[in-house]
Amino acid sequence: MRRKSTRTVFVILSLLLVAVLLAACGTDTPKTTPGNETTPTGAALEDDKVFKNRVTIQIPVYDRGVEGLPPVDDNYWTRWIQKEFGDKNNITVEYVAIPRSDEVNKFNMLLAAGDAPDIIFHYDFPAAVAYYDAGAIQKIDIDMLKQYAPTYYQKNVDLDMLKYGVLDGEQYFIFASRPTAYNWLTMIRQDWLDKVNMSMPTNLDEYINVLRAFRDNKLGGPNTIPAAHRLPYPNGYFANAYRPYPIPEEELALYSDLSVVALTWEPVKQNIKTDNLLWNEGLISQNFALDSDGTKAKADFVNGVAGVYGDYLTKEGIIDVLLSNVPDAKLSLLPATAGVPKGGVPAERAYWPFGMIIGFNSASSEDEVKATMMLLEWMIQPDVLFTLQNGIEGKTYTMGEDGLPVAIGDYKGEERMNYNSNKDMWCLVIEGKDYGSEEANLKVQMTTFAPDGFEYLIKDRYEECIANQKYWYTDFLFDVGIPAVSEYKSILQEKFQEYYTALVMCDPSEFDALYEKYCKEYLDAGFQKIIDQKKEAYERMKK
Amino acid sequence: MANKSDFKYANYTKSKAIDLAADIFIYITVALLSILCVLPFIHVIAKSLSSDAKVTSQLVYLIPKDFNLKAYKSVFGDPSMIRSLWQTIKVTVLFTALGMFLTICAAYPLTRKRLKGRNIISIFFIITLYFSGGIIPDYLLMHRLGLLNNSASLILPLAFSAYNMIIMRTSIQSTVPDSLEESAFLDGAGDIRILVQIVLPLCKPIIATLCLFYAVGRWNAYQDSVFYITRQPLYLLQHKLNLLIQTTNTTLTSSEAQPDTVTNPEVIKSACIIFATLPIIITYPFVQKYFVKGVMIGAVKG
Repeated sequence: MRRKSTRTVFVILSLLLVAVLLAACGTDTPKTTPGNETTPTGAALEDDKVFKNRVTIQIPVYDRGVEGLPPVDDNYWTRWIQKEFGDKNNITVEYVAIPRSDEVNKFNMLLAAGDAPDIIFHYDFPAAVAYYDAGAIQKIDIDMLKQYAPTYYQKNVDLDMLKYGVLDGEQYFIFASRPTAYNWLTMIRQDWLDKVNMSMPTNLDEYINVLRAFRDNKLGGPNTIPAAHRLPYPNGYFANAYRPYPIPEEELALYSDLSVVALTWEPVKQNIKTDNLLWNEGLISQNFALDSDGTKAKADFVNGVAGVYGDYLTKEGIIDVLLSNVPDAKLSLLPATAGVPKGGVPAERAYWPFGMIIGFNSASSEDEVKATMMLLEWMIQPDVLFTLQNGIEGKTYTMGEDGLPVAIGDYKGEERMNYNSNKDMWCLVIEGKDYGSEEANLKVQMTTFAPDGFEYLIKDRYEECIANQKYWYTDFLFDVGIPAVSEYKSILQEKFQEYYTALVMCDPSEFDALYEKYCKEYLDAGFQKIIDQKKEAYERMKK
Repeated sequence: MANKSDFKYANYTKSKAIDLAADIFIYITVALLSILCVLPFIHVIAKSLSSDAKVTSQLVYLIPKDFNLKAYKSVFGDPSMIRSLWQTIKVTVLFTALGMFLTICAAYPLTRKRLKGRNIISIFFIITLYFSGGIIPDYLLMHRLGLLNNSASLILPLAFSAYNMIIMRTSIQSTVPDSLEESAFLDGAGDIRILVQIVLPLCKPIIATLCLFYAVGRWNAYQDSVFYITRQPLYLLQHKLNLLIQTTNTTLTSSEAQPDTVTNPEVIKSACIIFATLPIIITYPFVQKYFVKGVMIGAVKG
C-alpha cells in the first residue's frame, strides 16, 4: 500500500515537472517591446525638430555608489538637463542607474525584459560588440545622425572614429571623443637617487643598478623595497617595452588584447623573466602576490619604504600622505625608458581615439533614437558641455585669470556636481575635459591631478608622452566579436595570476621549464581557441 | 575496603585531571575562534575612526590612529544613507513578519497527522530547496508582475523559506506532543485557538530563532536589490554598500579615464560598513533570552 502510494506521488510529480518544463519552453515570448511603451511614433515635426507628442528617452548613467552624493538618476543636473533640453524639445529624459561593477549583467537583464534604455554603452570594444552579437543594437541611419546631431557626427568624422563602429558592413556604433590624460606615471624618490649619488636611469640595466643601490643602502629602513610591485591585473600585462618594433600586424592582432594576457608570447615571457630576476634579487616587493588591489604597494610607498611606485596620480591620497610620513621626500618622474631592455623602444598601449562606445537599443523607436541624437547634439555644444563639466560660476567654480575654470571642491549646495564633475553624464560626448588647446588642457590637468608643488610630474609626463608617442599603437580592431574571448577570459585571467606568481617566485634556473609547462596548460585552457578564432577573423579581414 | 576506596579516589583525580585538560582545551579553542571572528570587525571599526593618511599607509590595525569622527559625520550627514537605512528596516520588518506568518501557517498543519496528503505537500516545498528558476526568469517574472522598482519585489519572492519551514515543523513535532493538542481539543479548543494559545507560546524559542534567520538574511542580502531596483530612493543599505565597495576595483581594468578624485576612501567605506552592520547586531541581545528559556517544563503531566 505504502509503496504504491509513494510510486503514485512520484508519477504525479514527474508528470507535473514535465508539464512545467513544456509550458516554459512553449511560452510565446513576445519580441522585445520598445522600452517606453507610452512613446508615440511618427510624431516628429521636421521643421523645428520639436516633437508634437511628448517623447520619453531613457539614458543610462553609471551608479558608483559614491558616498555623500545625491542619487545619480535624480539630482540637480538631471533636472537641469530636463529643463534646458527636455522641456524645450518636448522630450522627457529619464536616467536609468546602471551599477558600475555589474553593468553587463544589468544591461542584459534590462534587455531581456525589454526595459533597456535607448542607449547601450560600454567602455570596452569587445564588450560592446557582445551586445551587437546579442542583437541588442540597432543599425544607425547616418543620414538621420547628420540631420539630428550634425556636430556630433562631424566630430566623429573629424577624428575618424566612425570606421570603428562598422560591423559586417553597417554602422552600429558612434563614439564619444577622448582627449589624452597624462596622469598615469611612475614616481621615483629623487632624494634616494641623490643619496646614492646616481643619475636618473635611462634604460633597464641602469634602472636595475639603481634598485640594487637602494637595496644595499637600505634607504627605506631595514625593510626597504627598492620598487613597489603588486600582483598585475588579471588582464593587464602588456609587456609593451619587450614587443618588437615595429610590431608585425598579425602578432598585434593575435596577441595584444585588453581582456586576456598572451602568456605564450615571447615578449610576455621576457618581461616575466625580468620580474623573476628583480624578485630573486630582492628588488621588488617580496609579497606582491598577496597584494591584488595594490593597497600594500601604495602603503609601502607612502610610508617611505619603497623607492619606486606607479599609479594614477590624484590630488589627494598619495603624495600628501607620503609627505606627512616623510616630510623631506622628493619625487621625480621615472622615465618610461627605464623599463626598456636593450634594443627596445618605450612603446605603450595607446588608447583608442574614442571614449564611450554608444549604440542605440534595437527596441527603440525611430522617435526615441531621434530624440536621443538630439540630446547628444545638445550636449556636445561647447557652452552646454562647459556648464555640465564645471557647474555654476561662483558656486562650483571660479574663473581664473587665464580664462580657465578652477573648481571649488567643497561646495555642498544644491547645484553641487555629481561624482567626478558629472563625468558619468557627459561621457556620452567626451571622455575628459577639453579646453580647446593642448596647453590649456595640460594646465588644467596639472592642477587637477597633482598636489600643490608637484605639478611638474604631470608636465614631465606630458612631455615624455609627446616625445614617445611615435612608438605608441592601439590594439588591433576586429570587425567581428571573438566569442572565445568572452568564453574563456575569466578562467584564463585567473590562471594568468597564478602562473605569473609561480614564474616570478621560482628559481631562475627552473624558469624555462616551468614556463613551458604553464604555456601548455594555458593553451589547453582556452587560449589556443582564442588564437585560432582570431587568426580566422584576421585572415578573413585581410582578404 | 581501603584498597577499593583508594582506587576510586585515584580514578576520580585522574578523570578530574582529564576533565580539566579538556576544559582548558575547549576554552582555548573557543576563545581563539571568537577572536578570529571579532578581530576583523575591530579592525574595520579602528579604520573608520582613523585619519585617511594613516589608513592609506596601512598603519591602523586594532587601535584607531589620529582618532576622529569625520567619516561618521559624513555618513550620518548623507540623507541617502539614512533613507536607505529606513528602507532596509521597513523591508526587513515586513519581510520577517510575512515570512513568519507563512512559515507557521505551513509548518503547523504539516505536523498534524489529521492532515491528508501532507507528504506530498512536503515534497512540493522541498523541491523548491533544490530547484529555482534562475536569475533571468526571475527577473522576467518580476517584470511581468510589474514589481520592478517596487519594494514588494524584495519582500515577496524570498518570504517563504522551505528550509526554515522544515526547522519549524521538526521543532513543533518534538516540543508539542500530540497528547497536549488532544487534551486541548477535549477542552473544546478549535484549531486556531490551539495554534495561537498553545503551540505558539510553546514554540517561542524557535520562533525567535527563525525571526532572526529571516531578519538577518534579509538584512544582508543585496543581489535582488541590485537586479530589481534602479531608483535610488528604494536602494537597500547593503546594495549601496555593494556599489561603494565594488566600484573602485572595476574602473582600473577598463578603458575608462581615471577620475581626478579618490572614489571612496577606505575610511568612508569602513564607516559605511559599520553603519550598515550595527543595527542588526543590536537585535541579537533582545532575541537571545528566548534561546535559553525552558518553556516546556511541566506542560504534560503524568
